[in-house]
Amino acid sequence: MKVVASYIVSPQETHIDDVENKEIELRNCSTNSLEVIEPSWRDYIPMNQLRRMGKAVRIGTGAGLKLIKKHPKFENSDAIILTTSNGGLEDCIKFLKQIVFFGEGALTPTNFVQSTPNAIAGNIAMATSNQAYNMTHVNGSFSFADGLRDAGFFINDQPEAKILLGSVEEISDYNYRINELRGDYKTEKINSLDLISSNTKGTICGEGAAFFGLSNNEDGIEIIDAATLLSAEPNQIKKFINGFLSENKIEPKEIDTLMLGYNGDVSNREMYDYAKDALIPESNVFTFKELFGEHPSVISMGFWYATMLQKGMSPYREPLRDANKKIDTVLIFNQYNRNENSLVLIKK
Amino acid sequence: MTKEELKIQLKEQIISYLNLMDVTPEDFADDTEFFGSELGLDSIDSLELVVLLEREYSIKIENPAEGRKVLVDINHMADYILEKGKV
Repeated sequence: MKVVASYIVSPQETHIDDVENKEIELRNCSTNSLEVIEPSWRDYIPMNQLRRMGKAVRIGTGAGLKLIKKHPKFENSDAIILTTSNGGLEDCIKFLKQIVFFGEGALTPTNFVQSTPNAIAGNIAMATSNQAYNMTHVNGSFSFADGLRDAGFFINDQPEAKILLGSVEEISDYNYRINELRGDYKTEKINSLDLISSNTKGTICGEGAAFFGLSNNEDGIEIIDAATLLSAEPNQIKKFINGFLSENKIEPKEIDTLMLGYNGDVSNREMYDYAKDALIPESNVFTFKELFGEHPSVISMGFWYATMLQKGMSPYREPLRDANKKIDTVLIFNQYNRNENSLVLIKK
Repeated sequence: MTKEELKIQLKEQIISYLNLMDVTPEDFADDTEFFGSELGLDSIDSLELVVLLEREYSIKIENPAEGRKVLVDINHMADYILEKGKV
């Protein structure tokens, strides 16, 4: 299964046309909250729908429809798969507050309709009159890897299939405050581009939407495998990474590039350091959370960044380690909550 | 509150409840029909308008036929609110 098309809206100017051939000026945000840069969606989403959408639904639906407009062959995709941890949480909380405030009476339909995570894949299907397989994975930070595997199963059954796979997350007041209270974010303000070298606890948050057109039958970046593990135990995680490579019959030295989810939290480096220094010490190493922030679906943005580098895009920043190797075989390793481990292996 | 003040308040509330982007109270007349006009409202918006009347004016519309008579334009809504003595 190959990535043959992609489109992403993120805290960087990644939404521009021909992004792989253009330089962008990186945002260096000092609010510890990297908010998405949105293009105008008016050419893609009818106004009477657009005005009802919360941010997650808007950027998700818009990004999916924009990919379809750029690559019309995905208009009649055989599957639309959406992955998110929280979906439109802001609208969801608005709706729950209304239930409390108005005593379960006088509830508006819009917040409810727009707050369900499957509203995004549903909106894309309705906008394109697509009645094919429509699935939303809502499984924390595992959602994107689950979506990749779902797409893999689908394409194994139907090798000619074209699949639209998306990933969305928004910053809402609610999830920001909950995550802040449990110590996820830095208490001091830092410049986002300095995130990886930070020596304090906590990270910065981000949001965005990434969509991919997947197919077997065209040139593109090949997705070899994806896997997840729920564990904070270092030995189990090491076994998980090694087992993943063994199952895919690939030696660590064959990985020329690591895309690691370092998030600037000094207490959350051990496993990334293991992958970088012990397991695959002679690879290029790139990071992505200084560009996109931390959120449950950010691995999809690391995945997008890796595929762009494989296609020859100039890196946005100097790699964490430059091994002077071609970027062909990339292992993406990401942790969320310190215990949700995801791996994705891709090859040019 | 005079009828004219009520109409302006209603327009502001409708813009807020329906999130009518780029629309100001001056952009639609008192007799601009909600449905089938340039406002482009639809059936979900009619439910939002019913909720608006209940929350802001304590008026419950439980009969769909009554709703069709009231949710026509600003004039009809304002008349109905005044008739119910809710301002």
